[in-house]
Amino acid sequence: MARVLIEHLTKRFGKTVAVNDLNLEVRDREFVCLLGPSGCGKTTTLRCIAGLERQDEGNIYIGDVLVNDLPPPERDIAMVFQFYAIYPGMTVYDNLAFPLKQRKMSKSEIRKKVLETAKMLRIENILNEDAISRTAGEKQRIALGRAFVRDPQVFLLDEPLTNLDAGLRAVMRVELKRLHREMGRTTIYVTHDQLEGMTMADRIGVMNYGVLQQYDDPHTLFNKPKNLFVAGFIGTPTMNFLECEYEERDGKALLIFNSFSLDVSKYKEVIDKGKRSSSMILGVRPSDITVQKERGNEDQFVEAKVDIIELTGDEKILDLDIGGDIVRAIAKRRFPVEVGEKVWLRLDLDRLHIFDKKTEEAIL
Amino acid sequence: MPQVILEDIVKKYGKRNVVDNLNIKFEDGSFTCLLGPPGAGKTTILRIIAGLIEQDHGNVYFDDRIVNGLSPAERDVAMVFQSFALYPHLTVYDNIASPLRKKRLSDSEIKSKVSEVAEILGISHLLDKRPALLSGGEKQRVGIGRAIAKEPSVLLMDEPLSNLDAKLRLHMRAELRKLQRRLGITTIMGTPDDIEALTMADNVAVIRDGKLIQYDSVEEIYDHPKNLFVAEFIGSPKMNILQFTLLKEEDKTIGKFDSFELDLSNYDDVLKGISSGEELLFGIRPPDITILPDRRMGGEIEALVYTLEPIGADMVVNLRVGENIIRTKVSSTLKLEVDQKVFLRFDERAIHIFDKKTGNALI
Repeated sequence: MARVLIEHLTKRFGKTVAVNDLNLEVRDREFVCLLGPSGCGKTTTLRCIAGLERQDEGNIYIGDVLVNDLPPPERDIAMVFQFYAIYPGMTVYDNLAFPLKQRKMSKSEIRKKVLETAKMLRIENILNEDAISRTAGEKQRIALGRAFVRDPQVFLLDEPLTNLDAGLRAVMRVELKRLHREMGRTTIYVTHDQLEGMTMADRIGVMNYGVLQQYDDPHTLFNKPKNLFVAGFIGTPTMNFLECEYEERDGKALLIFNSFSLDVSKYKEVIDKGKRSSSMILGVRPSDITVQKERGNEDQFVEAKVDIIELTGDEKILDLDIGGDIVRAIAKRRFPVEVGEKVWLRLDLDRLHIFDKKTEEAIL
Repeated sequence: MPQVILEDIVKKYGKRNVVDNLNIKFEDGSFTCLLGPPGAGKTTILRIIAGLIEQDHGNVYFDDRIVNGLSPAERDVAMVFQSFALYPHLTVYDNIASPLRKKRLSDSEIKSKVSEVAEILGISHLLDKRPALLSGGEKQRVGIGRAIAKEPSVLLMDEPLSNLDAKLRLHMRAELRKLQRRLGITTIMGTPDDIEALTMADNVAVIRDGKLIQYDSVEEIYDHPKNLFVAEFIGSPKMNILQFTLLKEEDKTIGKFDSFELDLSNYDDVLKGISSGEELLFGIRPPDITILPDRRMGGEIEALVYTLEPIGADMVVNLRVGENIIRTKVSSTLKLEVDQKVFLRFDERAIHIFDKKTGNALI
């Protein structure tokens, strides 16, 4: 059992509160990402778990042990950093064997462990090579291997893929996820890249300014963000945000925009319950907007003008001008449309998000 | 706005040809990206066009005028750098105004130009501030403002978005594209980022080791990469590349892969010159693969789901096919489990075949 439990963790640097009253439970065998922009407190949290920083308040449990006062080697964790540390002048084999030699394991045991780990990381055929002269991807695998051979209870990974090129990053994401599935070790992974979090984690803790904003699985984060920050941070292209006023007219509930209005009567009850004032922000993801050349039969079509077209491969991103408001939508690449052309949009009413303008909390 | 022509350009650093006999014509008013990995020679090419360094051989033309030996000012070019390169002790206003003062414009002319540019770039409220107080995106907008205020006939940008965070990069991408269209300045931008090139440019010139590898419209370069390098460099997730052996039988042509076969009879024409038994490379982009839960018409390829990567509305599915991992991109509403058996179909119109030795595309 290697559950990690964080209770009321606070860490200050001078006057800055780097981590503010964080509560988080990472289940045994779970892969959790701490995600947020630089300075959000994610790395500080990880360093507190590792024992590299001492928190000012709160408790950290690994397994059932309160580890507040334990130095890093006694916490039974392994940490991998963004800048992979390779021992120069050693072979790949010796790099992996090093932490085991320190533990005074027998030679045959060490050999068995190293071979097993190397095979898993697909570096078994370079074990006798000089570690420092390997490619960036192999070096990162060697660094991971050195963490894995120790077979710790918990892996702590601090942006381990950030220094790799995009292609290799994509490959390593797949490998790490598969490795986690096979090894089943509790893993806490820090990243600023929402794509890494979304693709690898069982659950993601989104942080901003030292405060945990939301802790959920990727699907829930994407579909039910709790506030404007999470909504804007998760997903690419970014969710569209449009300021609007909420009004009830002739028994209908309407969101009034610069040049159009949207009938949201089906959500009237929820909105009435959650609203603080009539000023709101509508959120709609680019993938939840349908673009057509002809106006459909239903009411809820909005006229727009194509402002920019960006080809991304098999799709294109359209920037659309609705009476001064710009929204982005995704269309199939073969959808025939030109800059300046008039098109019709339909926002998927089942997938709208509504936020209070002042508190930025989600109402819907 | 002039067209820019590079003719037989060579630039050496020591013994190495950093730019190796480059010939390219940038159309008047177009937006072209020089796309290539770090060290490909993109920056050197931009600096040669700007007149910041002199080529060892060859000519640079602006329309039919040779501009070799002319200074950047005489060429009427402006350059935007990755590192913003603002004057730290000057306000935003003075940063934008400084190239105009060098042009000896009157104070009132300068004032009207600066406010116009600031308006376009949405930085009017920052004119009194110094660069240290600005965010990365604001700084880069000032850098761009300074470049366009003097209304150059050619705008050169060297990785202008690389120092911005992901979110801002996405935003500035669209903004720069729009600005270029509006001003109609012949624009050449260097970038290592394929998506940046696809989304922003009219045409893309892929550069490697100082050589022009392919120069085409964005659609053409995505659909018809000339060789393996371009095919793998452009598109995200990356094109799948699989090795196979071509087998020419009496009545059909077959591609034999490690765990499956594909009927390639439709490509007999292009594969005419290849002899049976030769090894080739097969390429297919992730969105051009369909995942089916069961066998439909026969000919589908059996695969095991290796990992699932949900990325919002889409999902990248990595599949194990024999010894290979194949990436596909599907809607995240598709229900799949890790280790589930599925069947794949490749879109026939979207397949690529490359010569294994030269990397050149046959299809």
